[in-house]
Amino acid sequence: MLGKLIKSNFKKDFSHMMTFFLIMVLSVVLLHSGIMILIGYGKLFDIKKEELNSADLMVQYNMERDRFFELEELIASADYIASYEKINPIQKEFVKEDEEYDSDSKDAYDTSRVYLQCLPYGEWGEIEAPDFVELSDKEYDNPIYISINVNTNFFKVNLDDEIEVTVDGRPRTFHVAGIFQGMLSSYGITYVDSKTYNEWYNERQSRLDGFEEKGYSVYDFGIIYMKVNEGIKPQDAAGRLTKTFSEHYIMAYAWDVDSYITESVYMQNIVSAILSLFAIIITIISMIIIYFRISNSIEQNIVNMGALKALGYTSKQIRTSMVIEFAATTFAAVVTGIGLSYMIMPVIENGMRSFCGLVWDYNFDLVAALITALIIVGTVIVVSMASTKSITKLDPVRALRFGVASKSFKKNPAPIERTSGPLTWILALKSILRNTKQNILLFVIMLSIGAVTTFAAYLTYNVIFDITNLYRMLNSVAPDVELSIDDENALYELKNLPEVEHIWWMNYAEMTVEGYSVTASITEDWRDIPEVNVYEGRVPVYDNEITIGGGLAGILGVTIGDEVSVSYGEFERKYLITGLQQGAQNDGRDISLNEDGARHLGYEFDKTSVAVLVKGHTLDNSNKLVEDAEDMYGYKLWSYANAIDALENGENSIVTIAVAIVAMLIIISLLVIVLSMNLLVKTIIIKRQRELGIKKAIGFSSSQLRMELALSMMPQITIGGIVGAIIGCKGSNNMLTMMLNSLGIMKSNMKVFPMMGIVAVVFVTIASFLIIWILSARIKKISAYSLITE
Amino acid sequence: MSKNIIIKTDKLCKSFSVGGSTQHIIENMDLEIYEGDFTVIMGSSGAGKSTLLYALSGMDKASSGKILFCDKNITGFNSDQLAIFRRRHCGFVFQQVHLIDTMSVMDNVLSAGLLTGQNKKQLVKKAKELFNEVGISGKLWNKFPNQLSGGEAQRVGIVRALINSPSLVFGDEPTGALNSASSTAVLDVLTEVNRNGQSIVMVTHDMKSARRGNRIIYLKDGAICGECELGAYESGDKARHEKLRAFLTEMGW
Repeated sequence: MLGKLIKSNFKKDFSHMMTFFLIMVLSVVLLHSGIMILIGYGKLFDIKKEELNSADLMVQYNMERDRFFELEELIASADYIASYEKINPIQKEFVKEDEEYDSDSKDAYDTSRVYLQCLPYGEWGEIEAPDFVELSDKEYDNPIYISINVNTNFFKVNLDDEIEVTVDGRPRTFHVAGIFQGMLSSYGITYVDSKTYNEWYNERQSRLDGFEEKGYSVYDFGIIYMKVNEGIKPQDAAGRLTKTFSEHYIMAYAWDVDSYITESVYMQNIVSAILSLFAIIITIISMIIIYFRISNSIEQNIVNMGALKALGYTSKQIRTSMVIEFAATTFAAVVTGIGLSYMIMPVIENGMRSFCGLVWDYNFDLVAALITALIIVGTVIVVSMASTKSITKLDPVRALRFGVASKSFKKNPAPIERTSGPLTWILALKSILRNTKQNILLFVIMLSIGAVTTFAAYLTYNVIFDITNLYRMLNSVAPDVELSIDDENALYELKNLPEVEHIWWMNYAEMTVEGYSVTASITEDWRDIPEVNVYEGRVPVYDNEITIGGGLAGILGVTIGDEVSVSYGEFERKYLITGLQQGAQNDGRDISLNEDGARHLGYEFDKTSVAVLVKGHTLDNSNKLVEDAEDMYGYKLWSYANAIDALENGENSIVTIAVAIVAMLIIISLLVIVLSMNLLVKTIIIKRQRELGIKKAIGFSSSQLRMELALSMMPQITIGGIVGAIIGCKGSNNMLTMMLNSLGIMKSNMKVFPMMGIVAVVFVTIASFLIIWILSARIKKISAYSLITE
Repeated sequence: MSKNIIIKTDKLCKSFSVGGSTQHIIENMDLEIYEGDFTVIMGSSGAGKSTLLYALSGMDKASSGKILFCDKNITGFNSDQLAIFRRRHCGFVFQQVHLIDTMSVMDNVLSAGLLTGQNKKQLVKKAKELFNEVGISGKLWNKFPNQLSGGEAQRVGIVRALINSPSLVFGDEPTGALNSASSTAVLDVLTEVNRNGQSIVMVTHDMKSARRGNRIIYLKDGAICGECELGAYESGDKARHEKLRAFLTEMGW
């Protein structure tokens, strides 16, 4: 008996259930993909650490050749280091052939060149051996084997492609014979054939020997991979090792694998957060739609339900038939959605691969599937049970006798006689005032869409149109241009240039705070510098004060007013925290102190590097400053970093991600609008079929009725959009903070304008109106005649 | 004196596809409806009475042939043009009344009236006059259709049909769902409307209702089987009654 009822419900609601099915599929695809990424990438790095026998620590050094043994001795004597392997790569600058080669380039952000650490193919040790994802079966005279990271960020080629580059000023051609994955090695380790390696090695040796013969100190480059003892955290070991090097005046820095993972995992967190957030929004919208749909269905079929009750069906049976209809559709959507998410996963994995440099070999994830099914099906069952509750109170006699008429209209909102305005508008107003449930439904849907599209507008402005906002947020101090000039008067001379807004001496040093390696920013007086990214408290004023990164403060469990121990070289001193700063470098593990404060640690403030904010942060001014500095100082200008130029003209992966995220936000928003409006418009038309037929009979045209329908939905849509946009404007920075938290961003402070909300509202309103207008075309098909002869 | 033709059909056909086969409801019908007439269409079930009515009123499209309203061919109109034609020239009174149950009595009437762009103040005045003429008192104007009796609802339906002063009023068994007293009241209103110069085309299977017409057309199997001129309605005119009875008997009613 119940089976027949369910079958009949399905048959009757087929077109509605199809739309509902599509909405749920979308929700499942997003949620399941989000959970899969979260679980998959959560485990991936630990799995890869084992699989690839990754180094826990990596030390890169560029130091006097005759002091190598000191460094090795320090590592060998460290009780927390279990084993180490030394490799001897040749560091070479590769310049893309199609770029203009400038061997004297001083631009630190020059993306046409990259330093790669070259080793002979096949000669690798136990630690950080390359794991080839693609390996050519062709034999080349000039093979090159590159990491996924190097390929993504520099070469952007495929296996077997030819690479034309300039190395040491000479053009060279390589064939990509292999692409490998690795962790710490993935930043620059590259393999070439032994002939090329030996050629470069011999060249270097003879050059260095020549220098040595002339009595110069000879600096050489090297890398040491290390494994730490069990129970030792790589991060702690890196801090201890950096401190030890510093105490022995060895210019070397230890990188740890955990920091590499933290830096790599942020993109997975962002993607997973966005997918899951969308899934939650869509699920909430679906739940409201279920409630709306069931209430309408009960209202429309009240006579049938009365008849069923009279025939002996229990309330439970009638309710179950309705719940099963939604639950079964949702279950089918879960199965389809999970299947689809595996179909789109290769695309997502490929995108992710370029950010973390690792291949994710995903399999069927039962946990992700179960969590998705549980959340989606569970929510649908709970909501549909709650929505059908009124059936228990339905009296069969009353339902049969009065049917729909039992719904009494007591109020006549906006009587035509006393309401001014065109007829279509008045009728739309009457419809709005009579349909509370529909109003709430539209309001909630558009509130979500309004908030999401405002966030998209916010991302578009801050990342795509004016990326300097992102740059300022990701850096604790964000100069537009940094110049390294061997002239103590540079600051005072450059200060007078018309394009300069603010200028100050800036130093960076590697220090440790309570054992953690940190980058310290040092200047004379922080109060003179505008736009310092201190989000809580104030900048250091006295020599015993520092500001520390929010991420580091969280790790150490300290806050403003606490004291922390800072070490540099053999010196160690307590400093008072006066503020929390944020910056994405080093995962928020950075500090700022002033010149006097740094001097207590034996740091000699060096007046060779100036940081500049140019007027209006414009590209014209930053370029002019670099040109002026080149003219003024010539060879004394060692290097420059024009951040504005790099941000606006450079290839920026974060812009690519933002474009992808914005596109996804807009597409999904449109899909949600289309699907939910489709369901809503269909329901309204079916519910009001008789009324529409009568109106057609007495002379209303289809266009008038479509306009009336659209207008009756627009105020709720616009108001929902406005409230959503306000929430979006207020919450976008919080949302971004949540996404970038693992990067060390504790408080996003990117620009939010009312215009972003206005753009979102206009988008939501226009898109909704057009979609409703198109969907309502089915009104044309309702003939007055079919109504009358019904 | 010859009468003006208000609506005319030329080889009108209307057919439906049912289960893959085509059913011809009206076939090659030539019909003229005259201005000022109270035309009654009668016939057995399935004869095509209602189909003809809805085709004449532009509520349904003809399969072939022509329908000329005041010499203007309306068969080529699209659905929006037909809607404009209906609102300007036609009024409808249905058996099931078909008032919009979410709107008050007054709103039901005004929503139809405002379609023709009439001044709202004058329209309200006109609606009130019509309500008074058909016996719908002021206390009912703000009620909803489900709060009215069947007769009251049908009289509201008539007011809605007349609010745009249409040249033609179509009635599809307007008394079919009413009791005797209500039927008489509704027919009285329609008779009065006709006396005031408006043309009426009414489908009915009820002889009492048919008596109100001055011209009776009898349909059989989608074609005009016969017609009878009764002259203007006068209450208690037995000869007229007998003439109608004889005609219907002859038609096999």
